[in-house]
Amino acid sequence: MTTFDAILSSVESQFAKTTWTDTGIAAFPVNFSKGDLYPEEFVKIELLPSTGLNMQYGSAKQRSGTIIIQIYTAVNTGLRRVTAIADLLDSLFYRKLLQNNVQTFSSSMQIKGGNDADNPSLYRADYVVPFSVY
Amino acid sequence: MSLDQIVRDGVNTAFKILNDNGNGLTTELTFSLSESRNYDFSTGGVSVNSETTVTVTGVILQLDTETAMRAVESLQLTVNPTAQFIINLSSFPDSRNLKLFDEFTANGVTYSVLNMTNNGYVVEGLAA
Repeated sequence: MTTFDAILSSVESQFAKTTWTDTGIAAFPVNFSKGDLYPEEFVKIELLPSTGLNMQYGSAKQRSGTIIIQIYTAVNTGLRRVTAIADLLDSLFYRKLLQNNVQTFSSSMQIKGGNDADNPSLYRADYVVPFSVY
Repeated sequence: MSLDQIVRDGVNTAFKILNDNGNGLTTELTFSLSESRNYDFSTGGVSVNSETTVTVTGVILQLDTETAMRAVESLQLTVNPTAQFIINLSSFPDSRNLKLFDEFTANGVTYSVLNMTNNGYVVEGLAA
């Protein structure tokens, strides 16, 4: 039986791997503020669990949802860095079997088309990957 | 050689000339970052890092009153800048974290960073 906490832990543990830490890109969860001390580029991790199957057998608890990684880069630098970071995220999340049987699927990107509302010196794009747990 | 590398080499040469074997205009700028919070993804907890410093070579120009006033107007600063600094970006260990540093010490004087622009080769800024 997979809990919400276990799903989040599976996703967050990907950012503790050297595959990610070696990139030097800062990562933070949502609901975590560094005040004014944000680097020039970073990612924020968001988890949106949605409804699983209503009819399930035994103790199995199927859940599904979406992992959203908000990618922030400096404004006026084009999209190349955004896509490069998305490719790095693909190496962690594209069709992977994470801990606790969290199965991720194909990823997509949502280009927000504007500067971040909270900090106009940053450009935001979202890396989105659906997941299921059985 | 790429155009990017040509510009980078040019900037390095300019700073070497400015240094003039240690007798020139360059000086050491020690940027410091006071305590910062981080999130530890392996434990799911919040960690606090103690003060970090990075020392780079750069040039500091003292500003006259007229230039300072123009900067206040054009950049809408709330504090009058007293100095302008220029550093070679390639001497900064991790330029992505440059924005985190809000003060530096040079020649025994501590400056607060008021404004900083990064063009990919040099970082220019105003301090007080």
